[in-house]
This record gives sequence, C-alpha cells and structure tokens, in this order.
Amino acid sequence: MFKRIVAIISVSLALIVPVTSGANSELMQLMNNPNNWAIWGGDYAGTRYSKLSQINSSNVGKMQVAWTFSTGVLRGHEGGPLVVGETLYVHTPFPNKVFAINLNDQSIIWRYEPKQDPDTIPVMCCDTVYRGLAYADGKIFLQQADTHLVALDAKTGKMIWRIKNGDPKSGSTNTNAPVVIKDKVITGISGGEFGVHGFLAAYNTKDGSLAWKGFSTGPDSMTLIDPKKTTHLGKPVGANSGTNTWKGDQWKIGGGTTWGWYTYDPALNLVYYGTGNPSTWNPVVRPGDNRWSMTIFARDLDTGMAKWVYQMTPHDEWDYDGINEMILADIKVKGKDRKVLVHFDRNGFGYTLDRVTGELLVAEKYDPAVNWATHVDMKTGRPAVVAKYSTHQNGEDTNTQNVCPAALGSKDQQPAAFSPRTGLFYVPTNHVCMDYEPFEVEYVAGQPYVGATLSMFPAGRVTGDGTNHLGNFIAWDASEGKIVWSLPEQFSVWSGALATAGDVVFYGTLEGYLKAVDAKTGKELYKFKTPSGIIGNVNTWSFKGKQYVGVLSGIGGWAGIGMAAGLEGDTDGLGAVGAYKSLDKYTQLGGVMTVFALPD
Amino acid sequence: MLTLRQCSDSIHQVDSFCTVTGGEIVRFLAFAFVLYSLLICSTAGANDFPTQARVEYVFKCMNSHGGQTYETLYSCVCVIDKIAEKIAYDEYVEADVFSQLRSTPGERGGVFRDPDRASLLVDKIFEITEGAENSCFVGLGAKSAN
Repeated sequence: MFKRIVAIISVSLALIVPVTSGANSELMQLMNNPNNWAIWGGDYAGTRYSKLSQINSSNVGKMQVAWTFSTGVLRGHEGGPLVVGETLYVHTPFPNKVFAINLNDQSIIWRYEPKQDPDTIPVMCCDTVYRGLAYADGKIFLQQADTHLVALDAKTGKMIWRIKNGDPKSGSTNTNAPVVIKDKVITGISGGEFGVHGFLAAYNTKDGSLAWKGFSTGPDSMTLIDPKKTTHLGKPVGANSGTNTWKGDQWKIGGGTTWGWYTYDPALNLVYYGTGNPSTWNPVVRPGDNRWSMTIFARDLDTGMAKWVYQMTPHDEWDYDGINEMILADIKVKGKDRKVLVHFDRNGFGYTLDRVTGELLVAEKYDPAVNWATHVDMKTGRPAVVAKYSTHQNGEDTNTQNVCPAALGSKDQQPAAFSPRTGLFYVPTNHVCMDYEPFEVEYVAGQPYVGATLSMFPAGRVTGDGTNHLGNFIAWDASEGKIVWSLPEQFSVWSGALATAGDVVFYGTLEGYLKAVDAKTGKELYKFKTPSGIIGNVNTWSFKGKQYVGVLSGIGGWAGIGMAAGLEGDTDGLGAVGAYKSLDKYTQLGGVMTVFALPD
Repeated sequence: MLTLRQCSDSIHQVDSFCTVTGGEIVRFLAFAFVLYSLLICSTAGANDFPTQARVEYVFKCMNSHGGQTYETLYSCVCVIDKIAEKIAYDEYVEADVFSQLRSTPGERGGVFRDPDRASLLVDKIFEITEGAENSCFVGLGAKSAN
C-alpha cells in the first residue's frame, strides 16, 4: 500500500515537475547558448555576461563596424537588441516600434508599429524611453508606453493578444522590458512622479490574463505580503506593513513604481526587483518610512507572495528610486559561499544580500563622494542620515546644498555586468551632486506630483578634489564592498555594461563612444564614436561563427546627423517611396544600432 | 601637413589682390609667418580631429546650409578645419554633448544644464563656430540658391 502511494506520488511528481520546474525550458535553452542574446540581461540572473570569447582583450582593438541599422525614431534609445537564432529583434522609444531583422542580410523581416495615444508622452517623466522586448515560446512581448502589453508572433509580427496594464490618464506609463518566466510574463509600472500606485504584475503568456499583481504599498491583500512569513532582515514584517508607515491614505498615491529590471532564480523560484520613490518628492508632507517604497522585493513566481523585502532608503528625501537591477551571483562573502543578490542603488550604496533569506551582507558606498548617509547600520539595515543633507529636517522651501549623489543617483537604471571569470561587477555610474529644495504640491491625477526643485553639478565641487567629470566606470568587489578600479568619464555613464569570456568589458558613453576595457585592469582597449550619445545596453551574439557586439545610440534631442538612409533625401526615408523603397527595407532614420565585429 | 596648407592658403588669398616684387614677397612671407604664429598657432588646439569627425561635421553642415553642393562643401570644410585649429577634439566633443543635450527633458537634463562648465563650453564652441562660419562664407551659397 505504502509502496503504491509512493509510486503514485512519484508519477504525479514526474508529471508536475516538467511544468513547474523548467522556467520556460525553450527560453532557458536559448539563454544557455551564447550564440543568442535571448533576454535583456543575457540570462535570468541579469549578469550581462557572455561566454563568447572570439573578441577578446588581445584583439578587440581591431574591431570594425560590421553593419548599422537606423530605427527611424528620435529620442532616447535604452535597452538593447535580442538575438534568437537567425533573427535580431530591436525596439524603439515611443511609439515603440519593433523590427525583426534577418541576420543573413540585415533585411527587415517584419515591423510592428503600435498606434498609441500621443497624450502618453507628456505623462512620461524622463523622455519616452523603452528598455526592450522579451522572447519566449515563439512570441515577442512588447510593453508599450501607453501600458499595453502585447504578444506578437515572432515569425510574422502579427499580434496574438493585447492587454492593458495601467491607465496613462492617471499618469501610469511603461518603460520597462518585460521578462518571461515559465508561463508568465512579468511587468511593472512607471509614474512615481504622478502619484501612481506601484505594482509588479504577472500575466499568463497564453492569453494575457492576469495571474497575480503585487502592489508596493497598501494592505497585505494588495501587497501579497504574509505578515508572519514575509521577512525584513530575517524578522516577520507583521500585519499591514504596507500601510502603517504612511499618514492616512497616502499609500494609495504612494509611488513605489517598478520601472527597472526583473531577475529570477529558478532554483528558488523567486523574482527580484526594486521599487521606486514614494510620492511626492516632498518628504515633509509624507511622514513615516513609506513602506515598501525604495525596497528590494523577492516574490514567489507562482503566487506573487513576497518571501522577503528589504527597504534601503526608508522615508526617501532625495528621490533615490530603488529600481536598479538585482544581479544574482554565487560568490564568496567573508570566506563563505553565498547565493547573493548584488544591487547598486541610486542612493550610492552597493548592497550584497543573501538572496535566499534577504540577509544583508555588505552595504558600502560605490562612489566615495556619497555623503547623505555615513553608513548603513548592518543590524537595522537603516542608513545613518547626515542631518545637514536631510531635505526633510531642513524643511520646505529650504535649499539643501551639496547632497551627493544627485536625484538621478550614483547610478540609474543602466544595468551593470558581472564576470564570473574575474568575480567583479562592472558598474556605470554618475558622479553628480545636487542642491535640493522641496515645496508643497497637491495631488491631481495625471499631473506631475514632484514638489522639489534641484540643481546638479560635478561631485568634484563638493569633494574639492579639483575634478569636473560627471561619471565613472568602476569595477566592484561585492564580497568586500570595495572599488577595484575606477575610470573617470567626463559624462555620467548611462549605458548598460557587458562582460565577456574574452575578458573584455564594454560600455557606451554620452559622447557616443562604444568603449572596450580590460576586465582585469580597466585599461582602455578600443573606442569608436557612434552617431549619438549611448544610453542603450551593449549586447553580444554570434552568427555563422562570428561574434558581434551591438549597441543602440540615440538620446533625446540628438539624432546625430540623421544620414542613415543615405546622405541625401533624408526626409523621404521614412515614407518608403520611390527610390528609397529598397533602402527602407534596410534602414530607418533616427537612433542607430551599430554592430561591431573583427575583420576576417 | 595641414598647418602648412592653411598657412599657404592665407597667403594665396592676399596674393590674389596684390601685385608685388620678389623682395616684397619675401618680406611679406616673413610677416605673414610671424602673424600666423602669433594669431593662429599660439591659440591653436591640438588640431587632432579624426577624419570621421570632420566628415560627419561637413555632412551635417551641408545638410543645414542648403544641401550637398560644392559651395556648401567648401564652406563646411573650411569651418571644421578652423574649429579644429582652435579647440582640442576631446574638449570639442564635451562641448558638443553639453549643447546637444541641454534640451533633454526632465530631471536628467539638469546634469547638462546646471554645471558651470556646461555654459562655459557651450559659449566657447558657439563663439568659435560663429567666427569660423563668418570667415568661411557659410550660408552665402544657400542664400544665393534661393
């Protein structure tokens, strides 16, 4: 009898396991093959590391431009292309076009251009950016600015389903790249400047129906927090932790938006992401810790229930959104093998947490200029705020001066990379400080709910070291919480990094340079000036035995010289008429994807 | 190489409306050289613009001054060569980023508008470009084409 039960259980398990444990097995296989770049981070862990090594530290200096593709859209181009087999998929900022490109001849297989309400543009706080697509099960998932989440047939570009994830009229928009895990597509929401109520949502890939939605603030039923089981630094959070650190109903317009990147650990079945600033920016009118804004969340993929949370910046006073990527790596911390999550927060601290339990292991400044807090208390997890940089303590209409970092953080969304070969994290950073003055605002749905004026300048003005550069590109040791090397960059680095098995690290700059540096020393090995500033992520793939490196350039208001479709007749390029019809098959005006390779 | 050509260019221009003797030419050349050293070479940048940067500038300049004609080509080549004499390439690139990105909307744009260095460099590149355009007949061709 007992044996039979065991047998039944085994059979049931055997039936269940392939469905629940393989985190979308097709996608997993694609990610394991370095010829593809099948997900924004290269893998679910968001390492942005490639096993390809044809381009390496000894030959990268010989790289040449292999081909280019102009997207036809001006504005800031964030994110990067996906490559699946013989097809490259690339997206654009608003209106969020999608192109499928045949890698055999770089011709356009299909294009998809959604019709979106242009009224979406004014409610997007920070340019009409979009960070990319997701691929799974023969579908391309597009998260439009107007919050429509769309599934397209990857072969034809035909729409399979479309659902609405929010309401732009109340200030909700989307800029994030969705991520597909198992049978769910994960997406978030933008609009913290408009008092939007942040959440992470999982939709079923099959038909777009909602599987679960976990809000950042609100009662436990909305936040999907279990008061007994969900922990903060090892302790249960207790009942209604998402409302009891807010004044009255403020949590309803509390922000905590989720516009960053999402990573996943298949073994733990946990999704990791961060939440943004509490609304309004003015801290004086929203007393309390404002949980769970500025928080790292670990949620169960199947149910959405939060396993653990960690709030980095309780009661934010500086707009240090916590949305930056959570990179999952297995490294030694204090001599012990740990499954960690590494996160470079806008607040200037680089955090290493145990991603199983949420235990805080390391929290150190990754820019020495950071001054708003002296350190993070490792027991309570709270930053020790320096009174003179507290915009709340200084009060409304008081200009708090020389706060480092500025509101855009020591690092914004541009994702870092991790190389298991060097054990180092490669981080694009800002080196900018600010004067910050909060003022009183009233909330009106769909109107900016900011309530602060700020002015920014190079960190050197505060540190007094005589420098005037606005960024650094650093290598970080997440075990120790130490900078290993730091390359000064004249401008903030807003491009996502890439590390490869060739021991090369790539990143882009606002001048438009694609740079390659030595992963061990930081020595510059190559640079090339693309048509416009780079705020996209550098991705790599291999096609017919040749490794390619591709990056989008294009930043709001700066389109290079717009000559991609030929040096004359530029204005005809978009219309695809007459002589330009064949050209249009290959290229579009606007932001440019530049693809590099080694010469034969 | 480039410096030599520019020096001889400036002599050419004077040459074309002067009929002079051999001695005068020698004296003039000496004078021109001293003048050149004082006025141009002393304020010169590294003259280190890469070919790609010059070509991109010329195409952009032609596009915004009436299209691709020899007239706009000559003017625009003249402008970028003069700019390259007056400012080092890295500084030019930095100034270009500040001027291109000043209009970036939202919080992010602040980092290009607020720093003192931004206005300093934007003003500098504006002055240099304006001076170069004035002495390179930029825009005349476009006007006559209308």
